[in-house]
Amino acid sequence: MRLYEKAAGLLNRAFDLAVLAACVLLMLLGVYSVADEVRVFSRTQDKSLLTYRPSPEEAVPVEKRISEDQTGWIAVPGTGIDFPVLQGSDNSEYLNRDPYGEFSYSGSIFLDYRNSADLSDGLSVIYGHHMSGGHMFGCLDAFRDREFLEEHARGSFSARECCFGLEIFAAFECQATDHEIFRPGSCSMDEVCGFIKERSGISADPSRRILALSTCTARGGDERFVVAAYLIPTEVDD
Amino acid sequence: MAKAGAGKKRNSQARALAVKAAVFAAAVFVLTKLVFGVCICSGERMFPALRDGDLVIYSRLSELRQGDVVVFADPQDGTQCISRVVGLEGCEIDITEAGELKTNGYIPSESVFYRTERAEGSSVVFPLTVRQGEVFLLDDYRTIGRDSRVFGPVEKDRIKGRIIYIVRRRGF
Repeated sequence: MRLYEKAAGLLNRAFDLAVLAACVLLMLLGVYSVADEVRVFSRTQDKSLLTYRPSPEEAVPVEKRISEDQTGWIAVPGTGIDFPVLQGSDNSEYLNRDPYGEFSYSGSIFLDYRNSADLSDGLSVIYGHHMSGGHMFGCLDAFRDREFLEEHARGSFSARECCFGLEIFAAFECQATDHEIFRPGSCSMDEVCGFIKERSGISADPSRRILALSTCTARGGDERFVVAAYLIPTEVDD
Repeated sequence: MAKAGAGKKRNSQARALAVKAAVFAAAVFVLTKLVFGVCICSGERMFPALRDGDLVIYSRLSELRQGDVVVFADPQDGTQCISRVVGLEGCEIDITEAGELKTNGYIPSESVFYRTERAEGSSVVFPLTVRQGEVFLLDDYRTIGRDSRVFGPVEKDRIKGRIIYIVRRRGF
């Protein structure tokens, strides 16, 4: 009998230990998952970049550039948009690279490689990853609310030699394959504005320069969410 | 009295063990049937993302997105397989003579290093549009794929879940 009791007790304890070990293992996997998320997201909040931020309505001179690939700085107060803008030799270069050129899963905010760095094209397109918590261009989601858009319509883009005010006027979903937006230079501004009207219901002025900020949607795949702004050239104080 | 007390203790130990085991088994059953699933990757059809022998954990609750690696039941023989979602419902899929995959008329951005050829002798006709409630699956190692090129788009009901974790101990 005593042997039986002992065996039952031992089994009981062994079972507790096994469950505890399994829980610890699962917890460690969970801790690793959280640590990995933190590692990815910490790259999106690299405070060292802010030392390169120009003051509003100030161009980004050569000596203040993070690298030769930096075309400027985009900022829209109150929205989380406050990023250096890079431009690679193709659109994958800065997809998984931080502004310093190091690998980063969250990548950089970058201008389409076909656009002029001084934003002189009729349509310029800037891309950024859609990350949860409003990181990178995940913050564009807020513009789905028309009221938010109207309250946060003003921003700035400091280019290398000039400055632009931003006047955000539309936000819409489309496909990555819509060449009116995602092949800048391939369509006339009338076609671009016609497309924006079709998607957002907002009439755009084809005689003005447009900047499109693009990110993925939460559903993934080819769906994109675009925030469109007019570029307003401003005087630069020397 | 002492004997009765020992018997009670023995019974309580055994009962506690039985209750714990039952609760644990129920929790594991519920978690693995409703929330997670575990599967061992067999073969190299998802190389290099997955390799033979990889232990994968998949989530049964995640919404499917393009690019997800999923565990599904083969529509022809019901075996548990792993493949990648390249097209959701409404997506037009084509495979060109030049060995290119096209979704909605464009070559998708994917980390696949092999040409995508059509399957010989398959009744699947390209281009095709993925119907409501179906997904189009392709293996990453496209040259040995047994995927939607062979059996066409797969019903969503056959998808068990999206892979969220892999454990690899060989084939690095």
